[in-house]
Amino acid sequence: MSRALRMFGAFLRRDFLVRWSYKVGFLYDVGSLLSGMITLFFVGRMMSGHTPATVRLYHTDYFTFSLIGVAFVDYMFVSMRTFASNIRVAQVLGTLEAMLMTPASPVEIVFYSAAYPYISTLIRSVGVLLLGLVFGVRFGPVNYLSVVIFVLLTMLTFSGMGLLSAAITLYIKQSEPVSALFAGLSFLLGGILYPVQSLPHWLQVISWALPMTHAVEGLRRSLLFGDSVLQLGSHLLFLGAWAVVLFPLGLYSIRIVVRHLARRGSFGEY
Amino acid sequence: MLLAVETSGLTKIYQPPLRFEDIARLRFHKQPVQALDEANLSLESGKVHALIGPNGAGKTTLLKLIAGLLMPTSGSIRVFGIDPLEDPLQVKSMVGFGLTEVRSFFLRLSGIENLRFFGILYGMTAREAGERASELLDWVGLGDKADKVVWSYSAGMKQRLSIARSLIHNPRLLIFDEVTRGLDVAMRRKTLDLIKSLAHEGRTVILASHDMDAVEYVADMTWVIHRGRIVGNGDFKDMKPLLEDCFKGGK
Repeated sequence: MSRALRMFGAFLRRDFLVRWSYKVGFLYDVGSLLSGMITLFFVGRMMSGHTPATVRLYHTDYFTFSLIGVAFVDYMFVSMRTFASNIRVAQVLGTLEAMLMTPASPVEIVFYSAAYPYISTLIRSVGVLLLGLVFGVRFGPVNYLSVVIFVLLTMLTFSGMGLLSAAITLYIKQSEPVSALFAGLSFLLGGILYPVQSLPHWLQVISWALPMTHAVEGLRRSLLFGDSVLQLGSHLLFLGAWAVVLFPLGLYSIRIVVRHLARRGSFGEY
Repeated sequence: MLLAVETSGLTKIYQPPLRFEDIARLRFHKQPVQALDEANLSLESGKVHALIGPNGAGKTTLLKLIAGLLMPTSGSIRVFGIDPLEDPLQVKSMVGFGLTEVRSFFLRLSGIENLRFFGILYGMTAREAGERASELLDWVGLGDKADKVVWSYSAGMKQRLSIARSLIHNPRLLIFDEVTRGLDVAMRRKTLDLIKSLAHEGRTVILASHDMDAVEYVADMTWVIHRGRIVGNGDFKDMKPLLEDCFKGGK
């Protein structure tokens, strides 16, 4: 097994065991998933028969429309928050310095610390979609390749932002507010619970400038219309451009900050 | 004579960061803090070296520089001939740092899970790390507590777990900072005997401590550090007058 896989497995196991040790928290995760779905189901049922025109554009009902948004929005939140929050926890708990004493590089430590959040998000989003089928979600002819590519690009784009946020968190030794603001804006305007078309025109302009809007639109069209990668080219290009800029920038900023802290000698400070 | 660690003119100056209050008071310059001032060390391998000095003398800074966790302002370091700045990963794989901070463990994980995790970070397979972890927990007398979560460990048990972690990757050089702090008499003796046995296996140990009796018991060579400089080295008995001077604020 390669070193990368071993490290991935070690972080995954560590965080699973820690999460599992909080049994109530674990149950809460499952409970909140179910309650969120049930809420959407009843909202969808209430709307059945008079589905808004902007949702009908997707040839589906409101429950299916919103469930796809909810299933994938977690990738954005996890990618943006997990690096910074994990590094902050390690800084406060004092385990960061212990990990930095090993030959594992700071970038590896930051990166693999996202193993458990990503895997649990993957399980959660697949679970949401499968449970959705039980509740009567209707997908179209799914294009699996497009789905996988959009999920990966979404993760890459937002993890670039997340790495940047982690670098700032390491430097200022407290959570930074910009990524939370960006995540909030993306949730509000990204077409997750309601179509972008239902927003006022001036907000639609802002919405289409956000990577989240293109990610969710691409995923919906892959799941509901079976659109191919070529048909979704403009959304892919937009997301790809964000990823190409943000991901290397995020990695670079982590390296720079770690070097700076080694010079300043303040890894242990919190 | 093989040198485990060699430093030359090692200097570390900390520039305190500007805080919001400083900016609000228009104080844009803070006085730098000199932690090390041209410190020179030549540590022979296979021995226990004690580093003694008053609080703020620069002991921890020196240890972290040797372990590659900090970057010096000037001067050079060689760990078994390798510069930690040029090849930090190689140096880290040869050094085991016994961090005595309780906070350095994952408290919700068991002792063996902690060691296994760090073993993998040192490049071992999960199986190798697990086997080595069991072996080490037995060696430090925690075999029967291996599956207990670390937050249930006493201070002494955490100290021994820290020694076990520092050995997980079989390092040639071991660094301990205040390893006997907070231990009762029996546990302190046991810990010091563990350290002695490490040197008998041919490893080099650096022990930073305020505990004179511990140093006298365990050290082959004593290095006195004061105000960031190495002011003397030799047998503990010969260093005693100098140490007394330093702790009184003289020298």
